[in-house]
Amino acid sequence: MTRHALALTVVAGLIAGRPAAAQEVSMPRFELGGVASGFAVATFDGGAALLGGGPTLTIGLTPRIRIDVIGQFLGPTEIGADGFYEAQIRFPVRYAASGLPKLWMTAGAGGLFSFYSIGERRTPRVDGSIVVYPGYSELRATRPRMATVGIAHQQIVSGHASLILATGVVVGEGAIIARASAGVSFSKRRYR
Amino acid sequence: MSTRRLLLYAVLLLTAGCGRDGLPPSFVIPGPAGPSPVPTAAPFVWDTRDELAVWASNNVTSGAIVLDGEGSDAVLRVERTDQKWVLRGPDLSPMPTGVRGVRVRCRFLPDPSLPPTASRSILVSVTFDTPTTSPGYANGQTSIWVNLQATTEFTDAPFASRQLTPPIDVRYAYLHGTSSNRGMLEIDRIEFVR
Repeated sequence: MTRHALALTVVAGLIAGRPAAAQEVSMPRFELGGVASGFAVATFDGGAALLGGGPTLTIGLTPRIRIDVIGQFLGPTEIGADGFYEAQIRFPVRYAASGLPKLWMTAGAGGLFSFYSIGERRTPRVDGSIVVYPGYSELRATRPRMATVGIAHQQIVSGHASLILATGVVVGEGAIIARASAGVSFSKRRYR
Repeated sequence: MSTRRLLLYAVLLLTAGCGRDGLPPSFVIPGPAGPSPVPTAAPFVWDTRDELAVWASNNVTSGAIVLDGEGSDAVLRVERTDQKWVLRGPDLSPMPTGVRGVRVRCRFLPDPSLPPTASRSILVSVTFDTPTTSPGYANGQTSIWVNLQATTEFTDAPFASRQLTPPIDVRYAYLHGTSSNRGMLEIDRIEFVR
């Protein structure tokens, strides 16, 4: 997703209308949580179904605009794990009677990451010397060349916790991915 | 943390791929010390019994190795090529620079009891230890491998046809073989080509 598209999304969020009767929204500035997702991946080579999960951090930019930073591990590899990261803007398109946002539009950008952890390796030579390859851990991430768009429903389940159900599409890196997610968010401050 | 700073972090995340470039460098734990060099009639040429003796007996040389003959007729004999063997040369001081290869005058005598269909060649390598590891070679040491065919006469093994590019500086060298073919390898002369 280009930065132009992101900027457009921000503007769209800022001018998004809301019911005149709605009360002023009071969402917490920060939320921490977790999400689990199912991905249906279609590429030129075929398709695959994946399950992922990971942490989320939500930052309230304005009372209505929120940014979600999400990392999801897609599965272990022999030496680590692969995953998908994204940052998305979320803005309300429908409100509950209480005035809290109920349905959100989301748009963002993401990429893939890989985590490796390789132990030290020692290779003896014929002459009795030993080559030592030190162990290392590494986190590699691609540039955020995947665009995401979708809708999300956030349900406040207690004063400090909410449930988020989302669905959307991810496009990029030669793949089109349909995604459905369920997550929980926790906030130190109450939702109202 | 201010909202503005958080926004900056988000922008940084969106505009940059990340990942460390390069692996941590490997290092080498030295093996047993090699033999001290003995003066040779020609620099970096081992031909006589005294010169070849340095290769025959030291902390690294192993296998069924025998030093046989006198003077320049002496040979290093690997009596069982189907077993592991190593011939370690001396630690070279001063270190030869600009080494382009090696010439090994030798012959491989297959065991007469081998069936006619058995292979009559063995794989032999000369490996050079250099001041810095040699990228592109297994375990960072420059190696030349040849397939030695059975001969009754001493000939220069085709090591000489494998030129090292670029030339290398050599701290020490060793010969070793990997083969299941039973036989005897006799080495008459070892010479660095510069």
